[in-house]
Amino acid sequence: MNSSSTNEALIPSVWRESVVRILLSGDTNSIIRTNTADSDWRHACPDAWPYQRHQAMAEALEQEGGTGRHITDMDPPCDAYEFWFNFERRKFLGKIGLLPNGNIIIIFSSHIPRKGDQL
Amino acid sequence: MKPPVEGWIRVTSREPVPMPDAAGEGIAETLWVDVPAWKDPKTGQIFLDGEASDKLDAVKARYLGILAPSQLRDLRAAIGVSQKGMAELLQLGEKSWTRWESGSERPSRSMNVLLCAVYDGKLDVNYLRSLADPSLRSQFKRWSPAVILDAPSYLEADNYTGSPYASETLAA
Repeated sequence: MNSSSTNEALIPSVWRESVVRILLSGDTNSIIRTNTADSDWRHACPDAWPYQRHQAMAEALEQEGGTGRHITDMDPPCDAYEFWFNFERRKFLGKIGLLPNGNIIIIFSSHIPRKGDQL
Repeated sequence: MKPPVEGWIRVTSREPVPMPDAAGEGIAETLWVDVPAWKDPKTGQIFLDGEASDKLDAVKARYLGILAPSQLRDLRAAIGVSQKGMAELLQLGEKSWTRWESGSERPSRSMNVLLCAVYDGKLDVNYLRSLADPSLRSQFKRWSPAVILDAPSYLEADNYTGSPYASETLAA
């Protein structure tokens, strides 16, 4: 995926609200994941279920003043942000893209921090 | 089926499902499951949707012995209570039970132990009622533990073969 990014900044509330709504909708067809993001999550939290990841991501994004890094030139084209979220006292890096139709998100990343990971 | 992104194609992808160990922190074993997926021909990236998620989660739930949503609905029907009544019986929020029945969430493994005991007829529903209702509690006096230690036949060594869900079966 060709992508580039900007510096960490406030994530726009419009984006956060749309993504949180989809994450908490329980509609798994509106939440597409890369198989690598899914595998990373399942290996990091073998006792958890994907909906718990969605709840944890939503919780992080619901916070006022939540920051993240805007990722541009995503493939497929979407409005994407990278951000930190917590699950069971552990820190994870999430990257979500909101498709132009505003009704589907793609989870590109959901993993524990790797060397060099930063916003 | 219309792809979520134009140009993506339907493929089958073999995905890992790590199974938690007893403590829930490590991985006991990893099963591989074939699921329907989407592929971006430009990048080769594989994407999973709800259908894949349902299949992967079902494999994990079966492996862990977690009752399926349909079994939970059957259990409630057998007891003859509403979703609210079931929540009261188990002393949990009604939303939790509703989400378990719909499959949008899963009971914890410890709660599942209790549910299995009721489902398999090993735990008296009236006993659960007594725990939930203080006026009934005196029927069951706790002077000492009264556990049953006789191993039923399904746990005897000659009959027990471990998980009924071998990897080959699940991957099929």
